Amino acid sequence: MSRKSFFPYKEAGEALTLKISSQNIELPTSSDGSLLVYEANENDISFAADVGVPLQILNEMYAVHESESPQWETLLVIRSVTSRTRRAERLGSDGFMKYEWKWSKSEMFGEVELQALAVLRDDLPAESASPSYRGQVIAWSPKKRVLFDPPQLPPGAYLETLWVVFSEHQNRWLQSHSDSFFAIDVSSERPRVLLNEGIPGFRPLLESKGSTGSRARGRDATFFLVAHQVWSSLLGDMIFDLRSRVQGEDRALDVEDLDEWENRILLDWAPFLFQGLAAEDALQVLLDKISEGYSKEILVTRLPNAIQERFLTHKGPVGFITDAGA
Amino acid sequence: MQIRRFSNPVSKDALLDYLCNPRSVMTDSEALESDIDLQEFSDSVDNLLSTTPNDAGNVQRAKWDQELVEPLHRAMKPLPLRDLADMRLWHWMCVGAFPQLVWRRWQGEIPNLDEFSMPKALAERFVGTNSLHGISRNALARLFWCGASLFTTEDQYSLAKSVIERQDLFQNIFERGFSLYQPAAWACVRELRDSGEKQWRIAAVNLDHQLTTTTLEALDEEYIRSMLMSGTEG
Repeated sequence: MSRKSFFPYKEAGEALTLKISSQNIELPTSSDGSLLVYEANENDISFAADVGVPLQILNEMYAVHESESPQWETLLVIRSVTSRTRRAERLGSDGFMKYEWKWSKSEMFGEVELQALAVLRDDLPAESASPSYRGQVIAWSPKKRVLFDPPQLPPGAYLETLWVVFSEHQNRWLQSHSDSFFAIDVSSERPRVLLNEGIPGFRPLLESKGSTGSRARGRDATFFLVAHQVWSSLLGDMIFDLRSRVQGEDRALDVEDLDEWENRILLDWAPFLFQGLAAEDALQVLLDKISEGYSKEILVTRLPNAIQERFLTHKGPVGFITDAGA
Repeated sequence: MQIRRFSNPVSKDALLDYLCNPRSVMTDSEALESDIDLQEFSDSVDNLLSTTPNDAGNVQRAKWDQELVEPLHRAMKPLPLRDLADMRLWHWMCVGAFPQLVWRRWQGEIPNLDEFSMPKALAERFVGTNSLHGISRNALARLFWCGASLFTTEDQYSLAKSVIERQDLFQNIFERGFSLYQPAAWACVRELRDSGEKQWRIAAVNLDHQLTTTTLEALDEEYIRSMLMSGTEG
């Protein structure tokens, strides 16, 4: 369960449950549980959202006297950039709630995201133990997706990688770093990762199959080390370069300042750097922060956590810790 | 005019080819199932193109957006959302149906295409993706969605017309996710349309930051306006 604590107000984290299901037909699902409407033959589909709320936790956090209604309510939020829509259905304040609706394929396009949120109904008095505001999120569910079209691959999650033998490469820098495991090549239009096949056992390790055992643990730990370092370097370089584009100018960075490659990478990473925002909003916040001179804060505080959350790189050492008997 | 869409989205690399070879637009596009009447919009476009001098400046041409937002939205709103959200439709509208409008509005004139190198910013006016950025830059998609977002029974198209003329303000609102929530779009335009650039830039950034912990969809227009006002104080 992840907790987001941007401000010191009381919140219960990912404490809500949400299940989205189709009622009139059986929809196929992807590996992450997304409902694949685009694979259905029917045009009109009935949906239901089942929401579970830990009443005791929320009512304890925001104390309710017997005669008063709860200070919070549950919303089912429906968001889709591709369908140009954002709205919420108010579900009430019960422990289990159900909401039903119909969608026709002609009504939507692309990807729709649903999430249940428990939010404060109104501003709390300033003298409250934990002042808070209308709409403040105090608990949430995992996000669920309904896909009306096949998903676009997130390009930023993938980098081109090449296996080369550093000691035999024509590039002198690679020759002089023949004991390095990897290098980042920025000489072409798009960065790529070079992995050193000249290190004995490195390639077989990274390409080994299997999900358990010491070999799998070694592979995963090595992969996470490389991924962490590569993205730290690439994103760090990109962020500092962006800052230099507006330094000395009385303007903020704009999406137009990015070339297509940068736009796709940063759009993909921005929601991990600024959690709680949709990708394009997060990108705009990132560009604003860079323009305002907060590059260091982004790189030192946000980026390491973003990489760990994105690739779950904490899993790398877990197996070794277990082996060490810690 | 039968409304069509490209069979595949037009890339920036392929754009100039289509502009140089209008026949290829026909072969690479398909008719929509629904039909609408674009005549009023087309007449409005013809009128603007014929009555505006070729050497008209940016400011004068920017006023075309105010003239066209209403007839475009009225003409196209009967289409299913699935068609309206599909950028292949807007690519066809800008590249196949009304390229002269896009050229004149955003370039000022139609260049000699044999010698022309298409800048990225201009290409975005003809094509683009269905992201917030892509739609806010496409010459005709931006007009339609501005009209759709800001139309009210009370004000009709006056909010849309007041913001579409100010390109920077328009982009600062409509390239942010909160603009997809109508009360937020209304609040931003009503609160910021008479503000200076520094003021609305700060207000929009602050609103984004507040929304990291607050659910926009729980708020009404009045409350959002108060959030914007608090963001511009001091």
